[in-house]
Amino acid sequence: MVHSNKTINAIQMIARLIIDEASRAFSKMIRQGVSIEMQNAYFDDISNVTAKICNEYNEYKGSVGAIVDLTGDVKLKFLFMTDLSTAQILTDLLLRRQTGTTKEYDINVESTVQEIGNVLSCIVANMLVNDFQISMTPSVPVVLRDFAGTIFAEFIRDVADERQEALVVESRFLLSNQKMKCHMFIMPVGESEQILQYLTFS
Amino acid sequence: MGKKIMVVDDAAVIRLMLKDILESHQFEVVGECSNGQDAIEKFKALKPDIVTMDIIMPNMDGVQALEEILKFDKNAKVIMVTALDQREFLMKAIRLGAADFIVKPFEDARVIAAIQRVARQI
Amino acid sequence: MNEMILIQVGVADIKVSKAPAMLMTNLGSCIAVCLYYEQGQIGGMLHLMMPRADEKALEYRGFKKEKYANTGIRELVYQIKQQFRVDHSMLTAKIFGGGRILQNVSLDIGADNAKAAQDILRELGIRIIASKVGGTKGYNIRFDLSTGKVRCQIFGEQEQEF
Repeated sequence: MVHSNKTINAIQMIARLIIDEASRAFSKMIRQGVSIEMQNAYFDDISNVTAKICNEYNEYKGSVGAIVDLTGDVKLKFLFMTDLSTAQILTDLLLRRQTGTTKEYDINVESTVQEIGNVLSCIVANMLVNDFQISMTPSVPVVLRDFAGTIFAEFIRDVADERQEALVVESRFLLSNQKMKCHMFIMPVGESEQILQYLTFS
Repeated sequence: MGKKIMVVDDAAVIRLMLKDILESHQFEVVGECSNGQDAIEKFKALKPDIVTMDIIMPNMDGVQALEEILKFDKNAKVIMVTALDQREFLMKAIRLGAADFIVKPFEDARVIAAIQRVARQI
Repeated sequence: MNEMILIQVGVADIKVSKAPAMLMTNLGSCIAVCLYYEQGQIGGMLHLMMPRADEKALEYRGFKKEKYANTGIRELVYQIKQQFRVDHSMLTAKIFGGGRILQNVSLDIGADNAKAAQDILRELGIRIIASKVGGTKGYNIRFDLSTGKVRCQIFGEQEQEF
Protein backbone atom coordinates (compact mmCIF):
# COMPACT_ATOMS: atom_id res chain seq x y z
CA MET A 1 0.00 0.00 0.00
CA VAL A 2 1.32 3.46 -0.87
CA HIS A 3 1.24 6.09 1.86
CA SER A 4 1.51 9.76 1.07
CA ASN A 5 4.54 11.77 2.19
CA LYS A 6 2.17 13.89 4.27
CA THR A 7 0.99 10.83 6.19
CA ILE A 8 4.50 9.54 6.69
CA ASN A 9 5.72 12.96 7.85
CA ALA A 10 2.84 13.21 10.30
CA ILE A 11 3.54 9.74 11.66
CA GLN A 12 7.22 10.56 12.07
CA MET A 13 6.50 13.79 13.94
CA ILE A 14 3.99 12.14 16.25
CA ALA A 15 6.45 9.32 16.86
CA ARG A 16 9.15 11.88 17.78
CA LEU A 17 6.80 13.53 20.27
CA ILE A 18 6.05 10.19 21.89
CA ILE A 19 9.72 9.31 22.04
CA ASP A 20 10.71 12.67 23.55
CA GLU A 21 8.21 12.08 26.32
CA ALA A 22 9.45 8.52 26.77
CA SER A 23 13.01 9.83 26.99
CA ARG A 24 12.10 12.14 29.89
CA ALA A 25 10.27 9.39 31.73
CA PHE A 26 13.10 6.96 31.23
CA SER A 27 15.71 9.44 32.54
CA LYS A 28 13.54 9.97 35.59
CA MET A 29 13.21 6.25 36.09
CA ILE A 30 16.89 5.41 36.04
CA ARG A 31 17.93 8.75 37.49
CA GLN A 32 20.43 9.34 34.72
CA GLY A 33 20.41 11.44 31.62
CA VAL A 34 19.45 9.24 28.75
CA SER A 35 18.18 10.15 25.37
CA ILE A 36 15.94 8.04 23.24
CA GLU A 37 16.31 8.86 19.59
CA MET A 38 13.83 7.99 16.96
CA GLN A 39 15.65 6.06 14.30
CA ASN A 40 12.80 5.69 11.91
CA ALA A 41 9.04 5.43 11.52
CA TYR A 42 8.15 3.53 8.41
CA PHE A 43 5.83 1.15 6.67
CA ASP A 44 7.42 -2.03 5.43
CA ASP A 45 6.68 -5.60 4.53
CA ILE A 46 6.79 -7.78 7.65
CA SER A 47 9.31 -10.12 6.03
CA ASN A 48 11.73 -7.25 5.42
CA VAL A 49 11.24 -5.87 8.91
CA THR A 50 11.93 -9.18 10.64
CA ALA A 51 14.93 -9.95 8.44
CA LYS A 52 16.36 -6.51 9.24
CA ILE A 53 15.95 -7.00 13.00
CA CYS A 54 17.62 -10.43 12.85
CA ASN A 55 20.56 -8.83 11.06
CA GLU A 56 20.90 -5.91 13.47
CA TYR A 57 20.66 -8.05 16.57
CA ASN A 58 22.76 -10.83 15.18
CA GLU A 59 24.26 -11.95 18.48
CA TYR A 60 24.02 -15.18 20.38
CA LYS A 61 23.94 -14.16 24.01
CA GLY A 62 20.31 -13.35 23.61
CA SER A 63 18.02 -10.46 24.24
CA VAL A 64 15.30 -9.56 26.69
CA GLY A 65 12.09 -7.95 25.54
CA ALA A 66 8.87 -6.72 27.11
CA ILE A 67 5.79 -6.89 24.91
CA VAL A 68 2.75 -4.82 25.85
CA ASP A 69 -0.64 -4.83 24.16
CA LEU A 70 -2.40 -1.48 24.16
CA THR A 71 -6.09 -1.93 23.50
CA GLY A 72 -8.95 0.48 23.19
CA ASP A 73 -10.11 2.70 20.36
CA VAL A 74 -7.13 1.47 18.39
CA LYS A 75 -4.87 -1.47 19.09
CA LEU A 76 -1.14 -1.06 19.33
CA LYS A 77 1.66 -3.40 20.21
CA PHE A 78 4.69 -2.12 22.03
CA LEU A 79 8.09 -3.78 22.41
CA PHE A 80 11.02 -2.69 24.52
CA MET A 81 14.02 -4.86 23.68
CA THR A 82 17.57 -4.89 24.92
CA ASP A 83 20.55 -7.18 25.09
CA LEU A 84 21.42 -8.97 28.31
CA SER A 85 24.34 -6.81 29.41
CA THR A 86 22.28 -3.63 28.97
CA ALA A 87 19.41 -5.17 30.94
CA GLN A 88 21.86 -5.86 33.75
CA ILE A 89 23.18 -2.27 33.66
CA LEU A 90 19.62 -0.92 33.76
CA THR A 91 18.86 -3.13 36.75
CA ASP A 92 21.85 -1.75 38.62
CA LEU A 93 20.84 1.82 37.75
CA LEU A 94 17.28 1.25 38.88
CA LEU A 95 18.42 -0.28 42.15
CA ARG A 96 21.15 2.33 42.60
CA ARG A 97 23.86 -0.26 42.67
CA GLN A 98 27.26 0.10 41.08
CA THR A 99 26.97 -0.95 37.46
CA GLY A 100 28.50 -4.36 37.08
CA THR A 101 26.88 -5.68 40.25
CA THR A 102 24.22 -7.68 38.46
CA LYS A 103 25.93 -10.50 36.63
CA GLU A 104 23.17 -12.94 35.83
CA TYR A 105 19.71 -12.96 34.37
CA ASP A 106 17.57 -13.07 37.50
CA ILE A 107 14.16 -11.91 38.67
CA ASN A 108 15.41 -8.36 39.15
CA VAL A 109 16.62 -8.14 35.56
CA GLU A 110 13.39 -9.64 34.28
CA SER A 111 11.27 -7.24 36.28
CA THR A 112 13.45 -4.27 35.29
CA VAL A 113 12.72 -4.94 31.64
CA GLN A 114 9.08 -5.55 32.51
CA GLU A 115 8.80 -2.27 34.34
CA ILE A 116 10.58 -0.26 31.67
CA GLY A 117 8.20 -1.77 29.13
CA ASN A 118 5.32 -0.88 31.41
CA VAL A 119 6.35 2.75 31.92
CA LEU A 120 7.28 3.44 28.31
CA SER A 121 4.15 1.83 26.88
CA CYS A 122 2.09 3.90 29.28
CA ILE A 123 3.78 7.03 28.00
CA VAL A 124 2.64 6.03 24.52
CA ALA A 125 -0.87 5.37 25.78
CA ASN A 126 -0.92 8.62 27.73
CA MET A 127 0.09 10.63 24.74
CA LEU A 128 -2.61 9.13 22.60
CA VAL A 129 -5.19 9.59 25.32
CA ASN A 130 -4.26 13.18 26.12
CA ASP A 131 -3.44 14.49 22.70
CA PHE A 132 -5.67 12.47 20.44
CA GLN A 133 -8.53 11.53 22.78
CA ILE A 134 -7.94 7.86 22.02
CA SER A 135 -8.91 5.55 24.84
CA MET A 136 -6.25 2.95 25.52
CA THR A 137 -5.36 0.41 28.21
CA PRO A 138 -2.05 -1.44 28.48
CA SER A 139 -1.74 -5.13 29.27
CA VAL A 140 0.65 -6.57 31.80
CA PRO A 141 3.97 -6.76 29.95
CA VAL A 142 5.10 -10.18 28.78
CA VAL A 143 8.85 -10.55 29.20
CA LEU A 144 10.72 -12.86 26.88
CA ARG A 145 14.34 -13.90 27.13
CA ASP A 146 15.35 -15.34 23.79
CA PHE A 147 16.98 -14.55 20.46
CA ALA A 148 16.12 -11.03 19.32
CA GLY A 149 14.66 -12.36 16.07
CA THR A 150 12.41 -14.74 18.01
CA ILE A 151 11.18 -11.99 20.33
CA PHE A 152 10.50 -9.74 17.38
CA ALA A 153 8.71 -12.50 15.44
CA GLU A 154 6.37 -13.10 18.36
CA PHE A 155 5.86 -9.34 18.72
CA ILE A 156 4.89 -8.93 15.09
CA ARG A 157 2.70 -12.05 14.95
CA ASP A 158 -0.63 -10.32 15.61
CA VAL A 159 -0.01 -7.84 12.84
CA ALA A 160 1.43 -10.44 10.47
CA ASP A 161 -1.61 -12.71 10.97
CA GLU A 162 -3.82 -10.19 9.23
CA ARG A 163 -1.61 -7.96 7.16
CA GLN A 164 1.58 -8.06 5.22
CA GLU A 165 2.63 -4.54 6.05
CA ALA A 166 3.58 -3.11 9.41
CA LEU A 167 4.04 0.45 10.57
CA VAL A 168 7.12 0.32 12.75
CA VAL A 169 8.47 3.09 14.95
CA GLU A 170 12.04 2.26 15.79
CA SER A 171 14.12 4.11 18.33
CA ARG A 172 17.36 3.60 20.17
CA PHE A 173 18.61 4.55 23.59
CA LEU A 174 21.78 6.46 24.34
CA LEU A 175 23.29 6.72 27.77
CA SER A 176 26.42 8.84 27.74
CA ASN A 177 28.76 6.78 29.86
CA GLN A 178 27.36 3.34 29.30
CA LYS A 179 27.23 1.08 26.31
CA MET A 180 23.55 0.44 25.90
CA LYS A 181 21.73 -1.43 23.26
CA CYS A 182 17.99 -0.92 23.54
CA HIS A 183 15.25 -0.51 21.03
CA MET A 184 11.63 0.45 21.30
CA PHE A 185 9.03 -0.52 18.71
CA ILE A 186 5.47 0.63 18.35
CA MET A 187 3.19 -1.09 15.89
CA PRO A 188 -0.50 -0.62 15.17
CA VAL A 189 -2.54 -3.80 14.83
CA GLY A 190 -5.53 -4.01 12.58
CA GLU A 191 -6.54 -1.49 10.01
CA SER A 192 -3.69 0.96 9.76
CA GLU A 193 -5.91 3.39 7.93
CA GLN A 194 -8.10 3.67 11.00
CA ILE A 195 -5.09 4.41 13.14
CA LEU A 196 -3.72 6.87 10.65
CA GLN A 197 -7.08 8.59 10.63
CA TYR A 198 -6.89 8.97 14.37
CA LEU A 199 -3.32 10.13 14.35
CA THR A 200 -3.30 12.40 11.37
CA PHE A 201 -6.93 13.56 11.38
CA SER A 202 -7.18 12.44 7.77
CA MET B 1 7.27 6.78 62.20
CA GLY B 2 6.60 3.06 62.93
CA LYS B 3 3.94 2.49 60.31
CA LYS B 4 3.69 -0.96 58.75
CA ILE B 5 3.51 -1.03 55.00
CA MET B 6 2.66 -3.71 52.49
CA VAL B 7 4.01 -3.29 48.95
CA VAL B 8 2.04 -4.66 46.00
CA ASP B 9 3.55 -4.63 42.50
CA ASP B 10 4.02 -7.33 39.87
CA ALA B 11 7.57 -6.10 39.13
CA ALA B 12 10.06 -7.46 41.67
CA VAL B 13 12.44 -4.60 41.02
CA ILE B 14 9.75 -2.03 41.87
CA ARG B 15 8.95 -3.83 45.10
CA LEU B 16 12.66 -3.76 45.92
CA MET B 17 12.95 -0.06 45.07
CA LEU B 18 9.96 0.87 47.20
CA LYS B 19 11.20 -1.28 50.05
CA ASP B 20 14.59 0.46 49.92
CA ILE B 21 13.00 3.90 49.92
CA LEU B 22 10.57 3.09 52.73
CA GLU B 23 13.07 1.33 54.98
CA SER B 24 15.59 4.14 54.55
CA HIS B 25 12.91 6.42 56.02
CA GLN B 26 12.23 4.13 58.96
CA PHE B 27 9.03 2.60 57.65
CA GLU B 28 8.62 -1.14 58.18
CA VAL B 29 7.74 -3.22 55.13
CA VAL B 30 5.82 -6.16 56.57
CA GLY B 31 4.91 -7.90 53.35
CA GLU B 32 4.91 -7.80 49.58
CA CYS B 33 2.80 -9.33 46.80
CA SER B 34 2.84 -9.45 43.05
CA ASN B 35 -0.86 -9.45 42.24
CA GLY B 36 -4.21 -8.21 43.48
CA GLN B 37 -5.51 -11.59 44.59
CA ASP B 38 -2.53 -12.20 46.89
CA ALA B 39 -2.76 -8.62 48.13
CA ILE B 40 -6.24 -9.24 49.52
CA GLU B 41 -5.18 -12.43 51.32
CA LYS B 42 -2.03 -10.88 52.75
CA PHE B 43 -3.86 -7.74 53.84
CA LYS B 44 -6.23 -9.86 55.90
CA ALA B 45 -3.32 -11.78 57.45
CA LEU B 46 -0.86 -8.93 58.05
CA LYS B 47 -3.21 -5.98 58.62
CA PRO B 48 -0.69 -3.35 57.48
CA ASP B 49 -1.25 0.32 58.24
CA ILE B 50 -0.68 1.33 54.63
CA VAL B 51 -0.64 -0.52 51.31
CA THR B 52 1.08 0.69 48.14
CA MET B 53 -0.85 -0.83 45.25
CA ASP B 54 0.20 -1.03 41.60
CA ILE B 55 -2.73 -0.77 39.22
CA ILE B 56 -1.94 -2.98 36.23
CA MET B 57 -1.18 -6.49 37.51
CA PRO B 58 -2.06 -10.06 36.56
CA ASN B 59 -4.60 -12.08 38.60
CA MET B 60 -6.67 -9.08 39.55
CA ASP B 61 -5.68 -5.47 39.03
CA GLY B 62 -5.03 -2.96 41.78
CA VAL B 63 -8.38 -1.19 41.53
CA GLN B 64 -10.30 -4.43 42.02
CA ALA B 65 -8.00 -5.40 44.89
CA LEU B 66 -8.58 -1.97 46.48
CA GLU B 67 -12.32 -2.53 46.28
CA GLU B 68 -12.07 -5.94 47.97
CA ILE B 69 -9.72 -4.68 50.69
CA LEU B 70 -12.08 -1.82 51.49
CA LYS B 71 -14.98 -4.26 51.76
CA PHE B 72 -12.94 -6.13 54.37
CA ASP B 73 -11.76 -2.99 56.16
CA LYS B 74 -13.39 0.28 55.25
CA ASN B 75 -10.61 2.20 57.00
CA ALA B 76 -7.80 0.56 55.01
CA LYS B 77 -5.26 3.03 53.65
CA VAL B 78 -4.28 2.16 50.10
CA ILE B 79 -2.00 4.34 47.98
CA MET B 80 -2.34 3.61 44.26
CA VAL B 81 0.94 3.44 42.36
CA THR B 82 0.51 3.78 38.65
CA ALA B 83 2.51 4.26 35.50
CA LEU B 84 -0.61 5.71 34.09
CA ASP B 85 -1.64 9.24 34.48
CA GLN B 86 -5.02 8.20 33.24
CA ARG B 87 -7.76 9.96 35.07
CA GLU B 88 -10.15 7.08 34.49
CA PHE B 89 -8.26 4.56 36.66
CA LEU B 90 -7.35 7.06 39.32
CA MET B 91 -10.84 8.53 39.52
CA LYS B 92 -12.29 5.06 39.94
CA ALA B 93 -9.77 4.29 42.69
CA ILE B 94 -10.38 7.62 44.41
CA ARG B 95 -14.15 7.16 44.24
CA LEU B 96 -13.74 3.72 45.76
CA GLY B 97 -11.72 5.19 48.59
CA ALA B 98 -8.02 5.12 47.73
CA ALA B 99 -6.07 7.21 50.21
CA ASP B 100 -3.60 8.74 47.76
CA PHE B 101 -1.64 8.03 44.59
CA ILE B 102 1.91 8.06 43.24
CA VAL B 103 2.77 8.20 39.55
CA LYS B 104 5.63 6.15 38.09
CA PRO B 105 8.42 6.74 37.50
CA PHE B 106 8.43 7.99 41.03
CA GLU B 107 10.91 10.08 42.99
CA ASP B 108 11.82 9.12 46.55
CA ALA B 109 10.54 12.40 47.95
CA ARG B 110 7.11 11.95 46.37
CA VAL B 111 6.79 8.41 47.67
CA ILE B 112 7.64 9.52 51.22
CA ALA B 113 5.38 12.56 50.97
CA ALA B 114 2.44 10.35 49.99
CA ILE B 115 3.16 7.87 52.81
CA GLN B 116 3.47 10.67 55.36
CA ARG B 117 0.24 12.31 54.18
CA VAL B 118 -1.62 9.04 54.59
CA ALA B 119 0.11 8.17 57.87
CA ARG B 120 -1.19 11.41 59.37
CA GLN B 121 -4.75 10.21 58.65
CA ILE B 122 -4.34 7.08 60.77
CA MET C 1 36.63 -19.41 -4.25
CA ASN C 2 33.35 -17.52 -4.01
CA GLU C 3 32.52 -15.87 -0.72
CA MET C 4 29.58 -17.24 1.26
CA ILE C 5 26.47 -15.16 0.77
CA LEU C 6 24.45 -14.69 3.95
CA ILE C 7 20.73 -14.43 3.36
CA GLN C 8 18.34 -13.59 6.15
CA VAL C 9 14.86 -15.07 5.83
CA GLY C 10 12.16 -12.99 7.54
CA VAL C 11 8.74 -14.00 8.81
CA ALA C 12 6.40 -15.19 6.04
CA ASP C 13 9.23 -15.27 3.56
CA ILE C 14 10.91 -17.60 1.10
CA LYS C 15 14.50 -17.43 -0.05
CA VAL C 16 15.95 -19.74 -2.66
CA SER C 17 19.60 -19.88 -3.62
CA LYS C 18 22.59 -21.92 -4.65
CA ALA C 19 25.93 -22.56 -2.91
CA PRO C 20 27.90 -20.78 -1.62
CA ALA C 21 25.08 -19.34 0.42
CA MET C 22 23.76 -19.58 3.96
CA LEU C 23 20.06 -19.11 4.62
CA MET C 24 19.39 -17.91 8.14
CA THR C 25 16.42 -17.20 10.33
CA ASN C 26 15.16 -16.95 13.91
CA LEU C 27 12.04 -18.84 14.88
CA GLY C 28 9.51 -18.72 17.67
CA SER C 29 6.25 -20.50 17.00
CA CYS C 30 6.98 -20.37 13.29
CA ILE C 31 8.47 -23.26 11.33
CA ALA C 32 11.40 -23.16 8.92
CA VAL C 33 11.14 -25.65 6.08
CA CYS C 34 14.52 -26.23 4.44
CA LEU C 35 14.48 -27.98 1.07
CA TYR C 36 17.68 -29.19 -0.57
CA TYR C 37 18.87 -30.67 -3.83
CA GLU C 38 22.23 -32.17 -2.96
CA GLN C 39 23.61 -32.71 -6.44
CA GLY C 40 23.18 -29.10 -7.44
CA GLN C 41 23.79 -27.60 -3.95
CA ILE C 42 20.52 -25.77 -4.38
CA GLY C 43 18.12 -25.05 -1.61
CA GLY C 44 15.40 -22.89 -0.21
CA MET C 45 13.94 -21.92 3.12
CA LEU C 46 10.36 -21.04 3.98
CA HIS C 47 9.62 -19.28 7.28
CA LEU C 48 5.94 -20.00 7.81
CA MET C 49 3.64 -18.63 10.50
CA MET C 50 0.43 -20.58 10.35
CA PRO C 51 -0.73 -24.06 9.41
CA ARG C 52 -3.35 -23.57 6.74
CA ALA C 53 -4.85 -20.77 4.74
CA ASP C 54 -8.60 -21.15 4.71
CA GLU C 55 -11.25 -19.38 2.61
CA LYS C 56 -11.27 -16.43 5.00
CA ALA C 57 -7.47 -16.06 4.86
CA LEU C 58 -7.56 -15.96 1.08
CA GLU C 59 -9.84 -12.95 1.28
CA TYR C 60 -7.52 -10.90 3.48
CA ARG C 61 -5.79 -8.01 1.82
CA GLY C 62 -2.58 -9.12 3.49
CA PHE C 63 -2.76 -12.67 2.13
CA LYS C 64 0.66 -13.99 1.33
CA LYS C 65 1.29 -17.60 0.40
CA GLU C 66 4.47 -17.74 2.44
CA LYS C 67 2.58 -17.31 5.72
CA TYR C 68 0.93 -20.72 5.60
CA ALA C 69 2.26 -24.25 5.42
CA ASN C 70 -0.21 -25.45 2.78
CA THR C 71 0.41 -22.56 0.36
CA GLY C 72 3.96 -21.68 1.42
CA ILE C 73 5.59 -25.07 0.98
CA ARG C 74 4.02 -25.39 -2.48
CA GLU C 75 5.31 -21.90 -3.29
CA LEU C 76 8.81 -22.85 -2.09
CA VAL C 77 8.80 -25.94 -4.31
CA TYR C 78 7.53 -23.82 -7.19
CA GLN C 79 10.25 -21.18 -6.77
CA ILE C 80 13.00 -23.82 -6.66
CA LYS C 81 11.61 -25.33 -9.83
CA GLN C 82 11.22 -21.94 -11.55
CA GLN C 83 14.71 -20.70 -10.71
CA PHE C 84 16.75 -23.89 -10.88
CA ARG C 85 14.64 -26.42 -12.79
CA VAL C 86 14.72 -28.83 -9.84
CA ASP C 87 11.66 -31.02 -9.47
CA HIS C 88 10.25 -31.69 -5.97
CA SER C 89 11.01 -35.39 -6.37
CA MET C 90 14.70 -34.55 -6.10
CA LEU C 91 14.36 -32.59 -2.86
CA THR C 92 14.78 -33.55 0.77
CA ALA C 93 13.40 -31.59 3.69
CA LYS C 94 14.45 -30.58 7.17
CA ILE C 95 12.08 -28.74 9.50
CA PHE C 96 12.73 -26.68 12.61
CA GLY C 97 10.98 -24.46 15.11
CA GLY C 98 7.39 -24.53 16.31
CA GLY C 99 8.14 -23.55 19.90
CA ARG C 100 5.55 -22.34 22.34
CA ILE C 101 7.10 -18.98 23.21
CA LEU C 102 4.13 -17.05 24.59
CA GLN C 103 2.77 -19.12 27.45
CA ASN C 104 -0.34 -16.99 27.93
CA VAL C 105 -1.83 -18.04 24.60
CA SER C 106 -4.19 -21.02 24.68
CA LEU C 107 -3.46 -22.36 21.20
CA ASP C 108 -0.17 -24.16 20.57
CA ILE C 109 0.34 -22.68 17.13
CA GLY C 110 3.90 -24.03 17.00
CA ALA C 111 2.72 -27.63 17.26
CA ASP C 112 0.02 -26.98 14.65
CA ASN C 113 2.60 -25.47 12.32
CA ALA C 114 4.93 -28.44 12.72
CA LYS C 115 2.17 -30.95 12.03
CA ALA C 116 0.93 -29.02 9.00
CA ALA C 117 4.45 -28.81 7.57
CA GLN C 118 4.92 -32.55 8.01
CA ASP C 119 1.53 -33.29 6.42
CA ILE C 120 2.13 -31.07 3.39
CA LEU C 121 5.62 -32.46 2.77
CA ARG C 122 4.22 -35.97 2.99
CA GLU C 123 1.46 -35.06 0.50
CA LEU C 124 4.09 -33.76 -1.89
CA GLY C 125 6.21 -36.87 -1.46
CA ILE C 126 9.19 -34.92 -0.08
CA ARG C 127 11.11 -36.94 2.47
CA ILE C 128 11.83 -35.29 5.82
CA ILE C 129 15.35 -36.34 6.72
CA ALA C 130 15.73 -34.21 9.84
CA SER C 131 13.38 -32.48 12.23
CA LYS C 132 13.77 -30.51 15.43
CA VAL C 133 10.56 -28.93 16.66
CA GLY C 134 8.81 -27.91 19.86
CA GLY C 135 10.01 -26.59 23.19
CA THR C 136 9.48 -23.18 24.71
CA LYS C 137 12.46 -21.26 23.37
CA GLY C 138 13.49 -19.75 20.08
CA TYR C 139 15.56 -21.32 17.34
CA ASN C 140 18.48 -19.85 15.43
CA ILE C 141 18.84 -21.64 12.12
CA ARG C 142 21.65 -21.53 9.57
CA PHE C 143 21.21 -23.62 6.43
CA ASP C 144 24.46 -24.07 4.51
CA LEU C 145 23.76 -24.72 0.85
CA SER C 146 27.30 -25.98 0.22
CA THR C 147 26.66 -29.04 2.39
CA GLY C 148 22.91 -29.15 3.00
CA LYS C 149 23.62 -29.16 6.72
CA VAL C 150 21.61 -27.03 9.10
CA ARG C 151 23.08 -25.64 12.28
CA CYS C 152 20.33 -25.25 14.81
CA GLN C 153 20.66 -23.58 18.16
CA ILE C 154 17.77 -23.51 20.59
CA PHE C 155 18.14 -20.58 22.96
CA GLY C 156 20.10 -21.56 26.04
CA GLU C 157 21.27 -24.86 24.54
CA GLN C 158 24.26 -26.05 22.57
CA GLU C 159 24.21 -25.75 18.83
CA GLN C 160 23.43 -28.95 16.96
CA GLU C 161 24.06 -29.88 13.36
CA PHE C 162 21.41 -31.66 11.30
